[in-house]
Amino acid sequence: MRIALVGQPNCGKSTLFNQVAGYKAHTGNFPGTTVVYTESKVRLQGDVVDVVDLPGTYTLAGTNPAERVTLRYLASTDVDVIINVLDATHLSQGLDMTLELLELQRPMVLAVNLLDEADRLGLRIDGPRLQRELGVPVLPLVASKGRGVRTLFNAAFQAARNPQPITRPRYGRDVEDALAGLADALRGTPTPLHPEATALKLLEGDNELAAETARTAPALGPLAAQAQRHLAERRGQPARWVVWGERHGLAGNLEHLVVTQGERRTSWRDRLDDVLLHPVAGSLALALILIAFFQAVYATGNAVEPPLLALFQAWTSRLHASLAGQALLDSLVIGLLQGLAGGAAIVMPYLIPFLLGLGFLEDVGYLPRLAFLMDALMHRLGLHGKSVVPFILGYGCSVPAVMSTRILENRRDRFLAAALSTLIPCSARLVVVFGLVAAYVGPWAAAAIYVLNLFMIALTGRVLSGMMQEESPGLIIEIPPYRLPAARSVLAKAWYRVREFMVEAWPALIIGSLVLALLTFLGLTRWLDLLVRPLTWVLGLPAATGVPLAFGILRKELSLVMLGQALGTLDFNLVLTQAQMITFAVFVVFYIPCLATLVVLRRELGWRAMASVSAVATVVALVVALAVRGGLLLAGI
Amino acid sequence: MRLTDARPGDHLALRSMPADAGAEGQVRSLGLLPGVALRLVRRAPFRGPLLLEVEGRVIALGWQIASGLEVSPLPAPGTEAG
Repeated sequence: MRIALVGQPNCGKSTLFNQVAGYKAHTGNFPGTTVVYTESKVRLQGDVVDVVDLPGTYTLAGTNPAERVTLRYLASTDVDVIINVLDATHLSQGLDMTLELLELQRPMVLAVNLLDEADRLGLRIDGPRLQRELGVPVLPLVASKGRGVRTLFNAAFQAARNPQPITRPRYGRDVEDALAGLADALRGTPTPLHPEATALKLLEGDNELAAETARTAPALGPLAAQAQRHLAERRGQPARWVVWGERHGLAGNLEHLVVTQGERRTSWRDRLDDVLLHPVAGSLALALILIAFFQAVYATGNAVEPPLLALFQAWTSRLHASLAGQALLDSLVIGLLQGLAGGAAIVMPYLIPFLLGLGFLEDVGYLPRLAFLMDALMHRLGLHGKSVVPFILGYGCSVPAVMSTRILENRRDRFLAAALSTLIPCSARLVVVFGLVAAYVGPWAAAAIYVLNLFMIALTGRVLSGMMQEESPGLIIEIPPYRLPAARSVLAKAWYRVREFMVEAWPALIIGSLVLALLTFLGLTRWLDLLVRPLTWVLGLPAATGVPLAFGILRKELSLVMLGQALGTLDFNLVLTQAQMITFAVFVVFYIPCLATLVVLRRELGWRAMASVSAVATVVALVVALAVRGGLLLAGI
Repeated sequence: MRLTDARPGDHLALRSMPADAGAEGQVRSLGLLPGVALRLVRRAPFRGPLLLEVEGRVIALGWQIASGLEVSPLPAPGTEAG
């Protein structure tokens, strides 16, 4: 049996999921899309059932891939029962989609969540009345505290076992007439949804559905167009506005029937936005919150990284000693260990606190506010406020940054945000900037590289968005109320993302290390130096920096580790001038994203986008590194 | 008038939808439909986004989209009955 959780964003659907899901819950993509779902096996009444957490959608209109996929998935026989989670504090908006779900005429149970919050707002909800009106079970829920979870799933189980007939909502006379006509024409042809639901979606102008039905029933297209025209003439507005308006009206009426407004208790949460969204105070708070966030992440990472690295170092020496005489095996084992250490000791110590902090900010509801505050600024890069999320993630690791571009609606925005966020120095590049420039030139020089980086991202953003003529519709986002996050939900989210890194990126890192070890063993690195020589020559770097630069593509922090190996010393003062150190670090910060990021770029946006991002990064890196070299020369450093 | 001409605190009725089909769908999914009443809560400086309250839900709209939306003023609601 499979139970699907459906609901609008911020309704607490994923909190509910995390209450029942085990650690083995896995995320997956719907075939051919980047739409992600999470699934887990759950024990229920002696049976094992699959519970699927679908992406939060406001409607099933098919305006974005998530809506299209959700609609099809729910209509299919893959799902035995739908749990529709509603936010009790915004009942009418949630009911809007509930009515759309009823049109599918599939077994369904309603969960009215966030009842504690509704209570705080003085809202009383008459669940039994709602159940009578809709004809499906309605259950109370406080998902964050686990209240009502068991009863809800038991009811869903029953609804799947003994499906009851579902009555879809009735619309105005003219809409129903149009529907009846279309449903008649559909009789006898296989439809992707229930015939009436298909007819309604055609009336709403769902292009994809229209194209699909046209294949089996060619007469339907003109018929649907005619029905739309008729309705539009009678009502004086497009047919889709009529249907949306009627559904919205029905939902509003239902809310009036079942919700009574008592005394509202105002709290700190109501006033917080006066400060946090204020142009001046809000920006100040934003700066403080981000500084505190990054400080906490770096403090944790800094505390954990050295002992872990020392541990790996100790293992490496011990293995090295015991494998004396078996040179190839020795190189490979050490390469493997370095790959493991790169993930466990260099990336994880930063990634885990970063993801925990991000999950917290997400669940509190701060990220949409961040998007609001940053929107005007992001417009200067040709993007809008929502794309600030991949940028922030980019400081941790480019892999989750690229993945997070999924929150953006159109492809242009996704490409631009992915390209720019890979230019942000991730924690591995931080190792190079700090280990080389901050340590040998001074912290001010490292800080200057970060400022230069921001400036170059802005410039690249302007140039790229100027080249991409397509307009982005801009910021359209709900600002949810502040909520205290449930620890379980924050932990679960961080865990899913860490696991994504472990599955997607870490293997690439390990393979890269092994290849490097093999090349070193075979003595091929000298040839590589020669191959990269034109580049190192232009940048004024010693020839031996070729290998570290080439292998930086496999793993960015390798550039530093290998620089030591290649130059034969870890005291870089002896072999590099300060100008060379800065030029090297600047180039490493900008050039081609690491292998793991490339893999994710290809998966998320395709080969061409991956190649373009790499080309952009290389060009930017060359230009900036040359400019820096020239500038330093002129300044006499 | 256009939504971007309104002032914070204004009560308005939406009269149009964005011309772009994708934007229309997104705006509609957040409960913005022709005829719906809304309140302009605040506007960010430098052509930043506008914050709207629509049926109890708070929504941020980028300046560009907001500038394409027609609205008409509504009288500020007094103490509502019920």
